[in-house]
Amino acid sequence: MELSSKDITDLFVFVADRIIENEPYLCELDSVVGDGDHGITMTRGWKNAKKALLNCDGTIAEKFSAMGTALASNMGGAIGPIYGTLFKTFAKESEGREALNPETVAGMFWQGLQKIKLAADVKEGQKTLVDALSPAADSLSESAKDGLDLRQALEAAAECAEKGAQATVDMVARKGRAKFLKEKSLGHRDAGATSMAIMVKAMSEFFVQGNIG
Amino acid sequence: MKKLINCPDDLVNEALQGYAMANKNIIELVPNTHMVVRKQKKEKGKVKFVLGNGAGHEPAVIGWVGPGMLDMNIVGDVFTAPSNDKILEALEYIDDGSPILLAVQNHAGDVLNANLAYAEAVEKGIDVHKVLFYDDIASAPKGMEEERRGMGGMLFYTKIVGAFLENGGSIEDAVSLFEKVRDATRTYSVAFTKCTHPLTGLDMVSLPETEIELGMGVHGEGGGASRIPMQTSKDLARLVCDILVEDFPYEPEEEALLFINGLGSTTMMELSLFYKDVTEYLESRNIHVYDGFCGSCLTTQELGGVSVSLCKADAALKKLWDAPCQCGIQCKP
Repeated sequence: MELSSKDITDLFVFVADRIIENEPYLCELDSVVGDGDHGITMTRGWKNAKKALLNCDGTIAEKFSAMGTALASNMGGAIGPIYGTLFKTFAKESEGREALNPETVAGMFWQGLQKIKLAADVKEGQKTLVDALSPAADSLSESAKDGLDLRQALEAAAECAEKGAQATVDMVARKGRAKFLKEKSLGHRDAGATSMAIMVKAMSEFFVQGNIG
Repeated sequence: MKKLINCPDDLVNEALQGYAMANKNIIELVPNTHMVVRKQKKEKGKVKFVLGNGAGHEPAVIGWVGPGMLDMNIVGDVFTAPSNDKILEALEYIDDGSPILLAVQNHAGDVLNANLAYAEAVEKGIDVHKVLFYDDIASAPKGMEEERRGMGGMLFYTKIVGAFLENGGSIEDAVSLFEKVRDATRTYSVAFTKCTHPLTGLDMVSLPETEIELGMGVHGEGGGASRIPMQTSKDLARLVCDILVEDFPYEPEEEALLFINGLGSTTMMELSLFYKDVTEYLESRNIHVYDGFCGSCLTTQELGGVSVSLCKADAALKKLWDAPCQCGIQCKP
C-alpha cells in the first residue's frame, strides 16, 4: 500500500477538515497559557492549505510545497514557519517520487522534525509541538524498520503523538509566549503539541475509515 | 463580546484601511497588502526604517509611521507576527537600493519570520540590516536581557533612530544608536482588568475585581510575577519605578525619557495623573525626567493597566528625541 499524488490530496483535505473542526478546543487550550487563538490560526492556515492542495494538479512534492507556502504565509507568528518548514521538508523528501511508502513517510517526518528543531531552536521537553512530533517521527521510523504498513505505522505514530502531547501537561514552557508564565504553565496541555497530535491522528483515521488501502 | 466587527476575516484589513483614511495626509496602505507606508516618502539614499508586528495593539505601530519615525510598518494578523514571505515582500517593496534597517521585537514569531525573510532578502541582494529589541524586565531576569520581550520601549527607538535616519544618518551608526537606545531602555507593565480576543471572544486575561498583575505582557501571557491588591497611583508609581531602577540604576542627576503607556482601557485622566506621580517619584530619587510621552499607544484591546518605560538619555539622545516628527501618534510636534 502506497500513497499516490491523488491520495495525498484526499488525505490532507481530510486532515484539514479535522483540524478545522478542532478550532474551539485548540483556542481553549491556548487561552490558558497563550493568547487563545491557536485554533483560529490553524483554521486560517489549513483552510488555505486545503485550497492550495485542491488547486494543485502536480506531483506529491508540488502539493506539499504548495501546502507549506500556504501554511507559512497564512498562519504567520511562530507557528507559521514551523508548519511551513514541516511541509516544505515533506516536499523535499518526496521529490521525484510518484508514491509514498512507510520508509518515505518516516523519512519525511524525521527530516521535518530536525529542520523544525533547528529553525525554531527547540528541543524535546520544552512544551512545544516538537513534544508530539518527535515521538511520532520515532515511531514511524521504528514501524518502517519493522515492516509495518502505512495504516499500522500511522496508527502507532498517532498514539505516540497523543502521549507526547499529553506529557506536555507536566512540562514547564521554555519557548514561545507561554515561557513567560514559567511554573504557571505546569498542569496545562500545550496547544501546539495538541494540534500536531490531531494532525497525525487524522492521518491515521483516514486509513482506518477505509478511505484507502 | 461587544466589539465593532463585520467579518472576523476582514477585521485587520478593514481596520488598516480606516486608519489610513483617518490619517491620509501622513500614511497610506499599499493596496491589497498589510503594509503601511509614509505618504511623503523619504529621499532615495537615506536608510529606510521598517518594523513588523501583529495587529490588535493599535495605534502601535502604525501610529509611528511618518516623517521622523518609521518608513513602513508590516502588520500581521491579530497578535500574530507577519509571515516571512510578507516581510520579504515588504522589504522588496521599500527597497530603492538604499540600506534598510529592519527592527524586530523579541517575540518568538517575530524573530523566526524576520530571520527567514532577512536571509532571503540578503540572498536577493537587498541591503537589509536586522536589529533586535527587548525591554520588558518582567520577562527575564537581569543578566538575561536578550531573553526579554520587546514592549513599550519601542517608542524610544522608533523616535530616536527615526530622527537620526531622517537626517541622513548612516546604517552603521543607526545600528549602534539602536543598540544604545535598547541597552538604556527598560519597561515594566501592570494589568488591572481583563481583555477579550476579538476573534475568539475569549478572555485573554482574567483578574479578580480587587487585584492587579505585575509584569503583564502584551498578550496577556503574564510575567509569572505576582498579583497584588489595587494600589493608589502614588504607591504604584513608587513600586514600578523601584523595580525599573533596581534593574538599571541611575547615577544622581542622570536624565531619563519617560513613556507612560495605557494598555487599552485605562483613561487619559489616570495616565496623566500617573505620569505626574512617576515623574515626581523619580525626581525624589534624583532622576530627572527630561521629557516623555503619555498615552495609550501599545495596547492589548481593552486591557486595563499601564506600562512604564524609561530610557536613560544623554545629550545626543535628547537632541534626537527633540527633533520633530509627523505621525498618527504625535509625540513631538
